[in-house]
Amino acid sequence: MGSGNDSILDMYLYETNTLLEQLDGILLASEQADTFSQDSVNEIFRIMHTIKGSSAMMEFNSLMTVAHRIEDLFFIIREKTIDVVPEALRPELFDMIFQAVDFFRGEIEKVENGEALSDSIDSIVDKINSLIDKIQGGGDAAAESAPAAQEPDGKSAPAQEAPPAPAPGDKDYPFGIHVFFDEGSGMENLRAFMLLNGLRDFCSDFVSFPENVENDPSTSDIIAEQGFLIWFRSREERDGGIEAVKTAGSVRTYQPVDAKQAEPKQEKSAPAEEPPAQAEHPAAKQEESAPAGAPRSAPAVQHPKESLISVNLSKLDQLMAVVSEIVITESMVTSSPDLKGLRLDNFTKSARDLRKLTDDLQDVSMSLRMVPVSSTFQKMNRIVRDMSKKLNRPARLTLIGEDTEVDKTIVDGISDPIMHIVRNSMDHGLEENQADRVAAGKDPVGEIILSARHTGSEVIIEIKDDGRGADTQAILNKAIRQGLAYPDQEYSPKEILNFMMMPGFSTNTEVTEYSGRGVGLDVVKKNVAEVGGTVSISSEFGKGMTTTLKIPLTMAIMDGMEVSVGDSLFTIPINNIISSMKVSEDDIVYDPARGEMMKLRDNYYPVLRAKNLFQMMDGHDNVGDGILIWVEAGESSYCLFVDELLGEQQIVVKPLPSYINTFGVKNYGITGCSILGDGSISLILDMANVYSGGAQGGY
Amino acid sequence: MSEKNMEVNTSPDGTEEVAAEAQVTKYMIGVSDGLRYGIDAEQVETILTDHTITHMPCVPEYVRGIVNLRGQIMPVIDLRLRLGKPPKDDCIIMVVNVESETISILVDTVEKMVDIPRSAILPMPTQSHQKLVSGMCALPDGGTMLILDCGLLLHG
Repeated sequence: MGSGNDSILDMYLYETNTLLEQLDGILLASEQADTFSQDSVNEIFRIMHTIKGSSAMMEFNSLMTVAHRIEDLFFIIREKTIDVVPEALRPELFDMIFQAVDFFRGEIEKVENGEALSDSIDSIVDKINSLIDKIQGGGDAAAESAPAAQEPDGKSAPAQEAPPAPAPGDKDYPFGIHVFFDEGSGMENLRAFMLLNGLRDFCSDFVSFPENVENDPSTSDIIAEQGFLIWFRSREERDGGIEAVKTAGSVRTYQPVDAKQAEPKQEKSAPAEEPPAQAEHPAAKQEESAPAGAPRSAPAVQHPKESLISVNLSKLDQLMAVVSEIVITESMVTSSPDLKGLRLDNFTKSARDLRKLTDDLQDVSMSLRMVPVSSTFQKMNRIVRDMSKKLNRPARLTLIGEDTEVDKTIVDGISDPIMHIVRNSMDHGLEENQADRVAAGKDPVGEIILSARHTGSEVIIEIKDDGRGADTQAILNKAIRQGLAYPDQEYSPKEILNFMMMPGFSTNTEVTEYSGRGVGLDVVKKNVAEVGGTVSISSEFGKGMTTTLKIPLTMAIMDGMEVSVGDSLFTIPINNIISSMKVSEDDIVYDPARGEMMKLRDNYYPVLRAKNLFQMMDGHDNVGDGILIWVEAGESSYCLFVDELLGEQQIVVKPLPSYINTFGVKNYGITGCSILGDGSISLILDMANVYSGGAQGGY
Repeated sequence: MSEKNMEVNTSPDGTEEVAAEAQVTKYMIGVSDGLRYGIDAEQVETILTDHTITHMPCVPEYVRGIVNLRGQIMPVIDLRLRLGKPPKDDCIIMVVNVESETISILVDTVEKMVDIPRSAILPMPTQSHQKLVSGMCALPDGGTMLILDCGLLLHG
């Protein structure tokens, strides 16, 4: 039971979130134009309508009420076009809707966290109501106000096209369906309303009894007792309608009726046509099981979306895991030692085909997880808009390369960091008043450019502002004050900028609503590192600042160099390796503490021995027997001494068991493992942590 | 295994039998350094006899490394080393599910399954200093079984 409810809730959350995102986009575009196009009005109306309906189903009353009021408001605007809203009221209108979106988001978050929804929605409802009043006061209110406000269900076709109240069996609508909802399902009127909504995808010309189900809760009882009647003009339309009824939720039973028949008898037994699973969530189910009728909810508004389905991420993870197993197993089979020395022409040919197919399979399953960064980028529009208003700093956000695709997990992981950086740019980057900008010869409107692009196995995300840039001296002074830097040491500008990413460093002494809480770029750095990326900052004082995130395309697969130490195998990420070399004992230089160093291209680099680092029994001690790999990771560059290079390989990254991680192996640079073709396990090294772990251990 | 339990609980035979059934727990006995340890059979996923353990650096000695069981990576905990006994070479791996994590425990041999009524399980004497055994009981064929608490093994 629990899982059933969860899936309804999941669908609800997914749907509502999608709608809210869509709404945000419409609002931002409309605000720029300072008006709503008729399309946008329809769209917003529809979104509010869907949110209201599905929230009512879930019994999230606060969401339902607010959505309902906004729907009312947009009904008026829809009927009388945006001109009904005087210019002066428009900013208020926009602010109100933005506020409402935030309210929805907040409530949805509460639902996600299993918290209780807020009861105090009066203030926002009042705001909407007063706005409605103002609009109606401004327009020719007398004629319209009452019906408009009272009857938000303007969508309902009969209200416009059909005679007001056709009795059951009206001669224009002789073909009926008699629908009974699940007993005790509650809110029958809303269920009926959702059903009608679903029907509208098939045909628009029908009438229902009781009508006005959406506004009149008392119809609920009538429907519960006598069932819900829908009348169509033709048999064909009714057949289409039956399809919709079949897929709708909570329907216990239904039967076609003809006008001759008076009130049909109550049908008690539930026919088998309605699988119980479908009685869960009409919106969700229609999306999945009734592709013939355009789904009424989220995808309805963007037609290309109709071919999309939503899949639980964990299923994709599972798929990915199975596929990697297949790839490994395939190579175990085809390179099995049992086949050695045999001449197997057919086998070899088939094996080659299989390899190609498994490669394809791997590519496809990888691509399933790739999503464009656009949704994350779009969110920033909103942040820039809000902050620009609040701080009174005009700014625009330019997005470049929104359709760059990244693994879903990574997109989730970088959303917060990007938001943080954009906020920083708005709050600290852009000049406080426009005069300063003009004086500096810049466009009075600040610009933030958010761009994404692919480079081979990485995605580069840049957040660039044309603000005042970072004052390196001020940062250094602050770093010294915070005890992060030594007063008498020389630092390069790059090193100074890096202080900004250290824990506890925040340049603004003031705490504002948006930033300056003492957590800053260090959190960004940490979050980005969690998805395997790096952050770097560059800035020119007075000209602006650029923050660059380098993110791997996917965390699941990487190119690695297999090396061995004793009988253990390690994987070094290929992009950390600069070169590898055979050296002799004489090439090694020692410092007074017997620390080993190597001179490479006019610089000395520390030498770390993997054997000592990982306290292993076996492995070469003589430098001449093994091989030295020169690596670079983050800020550190050093040589790692291993026994042997086994070759480059594409590997599937697997996380270590959490029990192993409790011992903090990550701090020593062991981040994961990978299963090789022969079933053996190789440990994946994170070269930056190998170095810092080694430095702690004194190797 | 848990499904089986469900069946017992929902059987229409009346509550008395259910109560009696519920009080018997199946244990799988693993032997380590001469002592018999019982692990709740519902937690035991499988037993491996011949498996390559990949050494894991930077962990306590009793974590012998990790193994790959059909693509699943699990830590291997050597019960002997965990309890401060000398290690032994040829061992058997018991794969155990604890708190939704899969771990494997290295024992000398696996003996058999036993049904133990809950009432027969006695608490450990309080002055005992060990931390992994949550109870003990006498076996029908003589001898004593110590009940290994795998959760403690995970967190201890």
